[in-house]
Amino acid sequence: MPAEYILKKDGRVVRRPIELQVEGELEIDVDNAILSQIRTNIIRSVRGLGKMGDLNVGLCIVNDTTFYARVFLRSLNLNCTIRADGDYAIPSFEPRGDFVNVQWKIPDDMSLLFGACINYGVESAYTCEFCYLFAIDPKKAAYVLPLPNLYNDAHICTGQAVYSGATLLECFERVFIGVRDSRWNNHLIHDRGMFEHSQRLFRFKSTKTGFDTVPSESHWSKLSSKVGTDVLNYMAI
Amino acid sequence: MVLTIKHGLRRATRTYAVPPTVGELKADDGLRAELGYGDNCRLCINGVEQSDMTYCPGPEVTIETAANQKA
Repeated sequence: MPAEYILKKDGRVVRRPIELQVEGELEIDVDNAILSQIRTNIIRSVRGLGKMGDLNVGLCIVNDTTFYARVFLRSLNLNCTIRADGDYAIPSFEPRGDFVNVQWKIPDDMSLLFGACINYGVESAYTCEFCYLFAIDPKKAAYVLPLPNLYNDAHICTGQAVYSGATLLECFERVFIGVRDSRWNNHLIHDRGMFEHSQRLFRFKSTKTGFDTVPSESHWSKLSSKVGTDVLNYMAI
Repeated sequence: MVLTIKHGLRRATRTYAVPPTVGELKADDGLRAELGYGDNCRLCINGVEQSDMTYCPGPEVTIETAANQKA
């Protein structure tokens, strides 16, 4: 008979038959070695690990050597080339030219998540293997913004850069700053449609002090691509 | 058999008389609507990507957005 095994909060393990005709649970004795193995493979999340500047860092512990750290951003720094289009300044994402930093203010109904997969290993150091940028709507649906350095599964193209640190937070801070300050070019512009969406979503007006975000006429989710990966389960959302 | 299909943060559970194939799950319009995936996806069992003809014996599979490559 198919059944599921449940590790209760108090440490007991119970077996619950799946057949609807059979009700109730049967507590079973489990060797401590098995319990230890079960606990080792449980993913644990900490939503308020600490502060990085004014951002709250969340952490997901996958196992002894694999961690996912994340922050929710209030704005997105775009270090890119700009072109003028009437009254608007729009990122052109050219690989060469005059690069400027513009802060894109995220829409009120978007949660913008920057996350990184960090491994502990060689020489007792923490190293970032992959980092991600997810846009999440109020219903917890995830999207990839129409940005030219993002893969379809939302991981960020960082070229040859490798980020590491003596501590997990140090590693995460380095990859965060590195990506924040990196130039956005057009390495992953794979279709004209995606590029045109970027031109409609990221719009600014030039002011005396910099650039103000101009809200897009279309909802941001219509200009982005839906994404679903297992990584989202490690983002302590 | 009971099969749990995961896509990002979402889950769907289906009961099948016989295990479906990967291709059938990918093409299931009901699942697509419920979980929100499209054509550009891959199906993994225990983290390993499977071909369309592979049967899904359960208890769970993961559908992920497939990453593109640089031109």
